[in-house]
Amino acid sequence: MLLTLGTLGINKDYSGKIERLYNTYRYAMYSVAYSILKDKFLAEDSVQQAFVRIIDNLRNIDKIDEESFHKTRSFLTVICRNIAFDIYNKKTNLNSDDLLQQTPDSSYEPSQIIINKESVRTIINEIKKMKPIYQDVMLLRYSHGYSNEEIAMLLAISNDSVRKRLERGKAQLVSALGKGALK
Amino acid sequence: MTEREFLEKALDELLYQAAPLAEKELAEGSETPSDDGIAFSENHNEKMQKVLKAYKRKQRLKKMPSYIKRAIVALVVLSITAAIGIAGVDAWRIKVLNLFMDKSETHSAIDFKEGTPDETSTQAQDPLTDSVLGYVPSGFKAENSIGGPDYATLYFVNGDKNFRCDMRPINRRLFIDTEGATTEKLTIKDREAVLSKKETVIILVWHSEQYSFVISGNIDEKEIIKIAENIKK
Repeated sequence: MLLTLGTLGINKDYSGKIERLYNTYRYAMYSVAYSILKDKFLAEDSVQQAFVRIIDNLRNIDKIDEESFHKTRSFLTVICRNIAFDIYNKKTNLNSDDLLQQTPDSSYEPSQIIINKESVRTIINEIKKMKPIYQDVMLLRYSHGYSNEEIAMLLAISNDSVRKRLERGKAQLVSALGKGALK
Repeated sequence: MTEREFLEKALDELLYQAAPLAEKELAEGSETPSDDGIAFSENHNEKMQKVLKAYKRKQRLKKMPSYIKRAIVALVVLSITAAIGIAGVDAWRIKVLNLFMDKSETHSAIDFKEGTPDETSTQAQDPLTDSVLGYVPSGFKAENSIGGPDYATLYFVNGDKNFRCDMRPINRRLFIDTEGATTEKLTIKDREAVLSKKETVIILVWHSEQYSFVISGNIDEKEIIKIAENIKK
């Protein structure tokens, strides 16, 4: 019977995984949060809140790929950075969604895209240049494979905000791809 | 697929290729902070301990129903295995599911009502022996009859053939030999009855509103059923 319980994967230890992630990446997360907040205790709070958010919202902890160091670090720092921004915005009475509303709507037109062998390089460069608000949703969507709903939960924003951020990020890319084609 | 949908899909495909590479370059371009100079406060460490403990607890609770379910399945499998082994020896007990029985090594005890048998309420006041049987197979003579107002034991013999009729109040316990017996269900006076056969001995058990009856003997099965159907009680 014990053999059966073992083979059925009962002993899968996600709590151990979360502890490992904390021990490995807490300094990177802290550094990102501190660079925004310039406050030791608020940065620590950001790290703690990031793990609470991951635990509460991520149905499938398996999605966090421990094998890839940079990918896992990127994922955790994205969550932590967003929490740090939220804390910062609360302190300064700013709302990231307010900023989003202030930005003029720039719906993109895919027909402007000219795809060539340089397109991937252009997109990489543009993602790297993007504001974190757009860069984060792009990476969570297209590098980590999270759905809009999951991104909304992880970043504690609305589905609509996720959709808008993705659209605006894409608009930036389409613009760059068009320019690249003119060169 | 429209041209716009096609181009949107193409952009998505480009993004799926480019985003992981962009992420990697971003990670490589940023320094990996070491723990030098970063000391988390005691307060933070305590809070994180609580978060991790709460998560472990949550995980344990999530796992628990699976353990219980599997344990129940394992127990059921064990019970079925055990029952298969026992059933062959004690077919009688399976057939008498509607009766309440205790089985000892050489006999079965049947309670017709739930609860402890009432051993003191059956003291004989008036004999009922004569009024119990409405039919006695020809040639059989009463050899031994004892009884009271609410019980009777009648024993009849005809050469090497014999039968016995026991009547008891329904709250009394009856003892009958069931070891190695084969059984079948019958209906006697609209009541469910169990007929047990073991070698040449036949036992018929049933009950009325007030009494339980056992007729046993080495006579023909049809005769035993006829005696039962003609019981006056």
